[in-house]
Amino acid sequence: MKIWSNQQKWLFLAISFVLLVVSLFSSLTFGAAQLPAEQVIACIFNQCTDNLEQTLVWQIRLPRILAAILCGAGLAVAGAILQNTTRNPLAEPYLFGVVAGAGLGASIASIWFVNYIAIALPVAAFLGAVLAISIVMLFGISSKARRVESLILAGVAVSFMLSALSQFLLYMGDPFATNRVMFWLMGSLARVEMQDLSIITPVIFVCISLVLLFHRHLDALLLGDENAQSMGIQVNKLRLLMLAICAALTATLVAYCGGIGFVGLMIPHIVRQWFSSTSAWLIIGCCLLGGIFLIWVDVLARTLVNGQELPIGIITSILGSIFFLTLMLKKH
Amino acid sequence: MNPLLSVSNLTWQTEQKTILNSISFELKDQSVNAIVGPNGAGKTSLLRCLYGQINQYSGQVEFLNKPIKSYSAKQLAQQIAVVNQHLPINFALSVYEIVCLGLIPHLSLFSQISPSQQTFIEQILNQLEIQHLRDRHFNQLSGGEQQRVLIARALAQKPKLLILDEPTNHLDIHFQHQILNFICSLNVCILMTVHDLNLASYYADHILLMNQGQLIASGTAQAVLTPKLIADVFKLPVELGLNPLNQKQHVYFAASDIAKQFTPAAVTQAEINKAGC
Repeated sequence: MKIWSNQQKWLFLAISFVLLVVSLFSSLTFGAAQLPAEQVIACIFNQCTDNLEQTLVWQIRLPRILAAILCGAGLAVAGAILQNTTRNPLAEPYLFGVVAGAGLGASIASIWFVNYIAIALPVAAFLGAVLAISIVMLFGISSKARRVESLILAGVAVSFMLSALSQFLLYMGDPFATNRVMFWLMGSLARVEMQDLSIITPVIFVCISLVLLFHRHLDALLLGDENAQSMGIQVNKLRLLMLAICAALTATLVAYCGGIGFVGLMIPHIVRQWFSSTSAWLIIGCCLLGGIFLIWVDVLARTLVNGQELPIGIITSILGSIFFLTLMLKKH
Repeated sequence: MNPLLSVSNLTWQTEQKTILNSISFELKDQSVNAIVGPNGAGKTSLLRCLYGQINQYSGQVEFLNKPIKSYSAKQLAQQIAVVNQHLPINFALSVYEIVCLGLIPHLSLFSQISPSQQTFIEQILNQLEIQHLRDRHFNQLSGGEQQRVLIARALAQKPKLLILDEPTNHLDIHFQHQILNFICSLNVCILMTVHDLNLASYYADHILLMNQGQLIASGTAQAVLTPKLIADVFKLPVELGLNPLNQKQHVYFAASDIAKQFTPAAVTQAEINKAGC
């Protein structure tokens, strides 16, 4: 694998940025209703002749495309951080019980807070995701479980425990609640509205900015805990901070968009293979490629089946698994 | 002259056993010091106490007349750099990226690598003759090249004390001498663990002989590497001589005597049966 020069890296980022912008605008034309490009451009500049089209662009399509960019970027960055902090290329946010925790929260909201479901579901999902990762972090703080492997195993155990709890609740509860949680867990960007973006956007920006501040420290962690410590890095504190950032990123995204798997695993992998393993480049690359990827997956979700929208999590999982199997075959 | 590092009555115990027992010694600035001893003697544990990885010890460890525990992690990293045996790199980092990580103790969260620091890194790459490897992946390098990269990373920390845990491990004879020659030419205090007593004799000004967590002897090669001490610690009969090429003390091992103890003839049928072979 060749190492790119800084100029080549900047060029790659510039091309990715242009692709992201092009993807954003071109994806506005896809959907159940036919909307040609010139109409979309007119609507963007508030010169739409039809109010319905104006609403379609500004209230329906644009929020979910922006949500796709934020969600793709956030999940990819969360995956990259976890992989660097655990030095495990297979680590991803869902391995730490985030989706299982959010699922438990969603189950509780669906069974006991049906009347307030629109607000209760994202709030409960967020709290559930935070609960899951807090248990893993508490385990990480305890002196007997500071090893990276213990942290991952704790995540897997918490994930199974919370999944079992939510399955128990759904089994005992209303069948409609089970359906609601099942569909929610499959992931969708359709639920995201403009006002939701005002919550998601600052969380993603603050988290990614914090990660970028610590980019050298994350690189040092790749050399092992003891080497990083000998370079003046407080390894345990850094690892807990990064886990907290991952918790904030994924819990927020899962609360609004449900379970969207494989993005946190696949995108950092691609960025490392094509681009760079050092954290600063990796994070920026993940933001751009993650955003582009999820925009087009969402387009597929909207257009693949006529008159029906597929859950986005199904498509990311299919694409992700095919990607990894192909990668393994290539390596062999 | 005040010592750079002073260790007095250093003892480290776990729940099960005493790993280091009442160790005292001093290191002078710009000296080359080698810790020798059999496996499990406590060499690496001693190093880990000195660079702050182990803190639950009793006794005093002072660096520049200040207890090492009073230094923050960053302050310590500006003074002491470490080259460890193991480097678990699963991700593809380039040589240049790894060497630049050595600047971390001298950078704040918001600062960028300055042009003077870039020049400094280039100097180190030239000094270690790894300039041509700067854009190669660390994982693609030979053992000797990797070791030089790790030393370059440590030197980027601008340390006064460079600690190396078995720097000649897995290296062939050529690279062993190349690395040690280079290490000894640096104007910093060196503390390293080595298994080869002759390498310690050739390159170290000061040798510390450890066994079972204790410092058995310390001093020059002539004072420490005596037949009696080596026989006591390594359970191996040796003879001493002078290497005519460098006029340094050389330890000759009676390897054939050891070999005899482990010939198949020495193993009885009863022992084989007992072992279940």
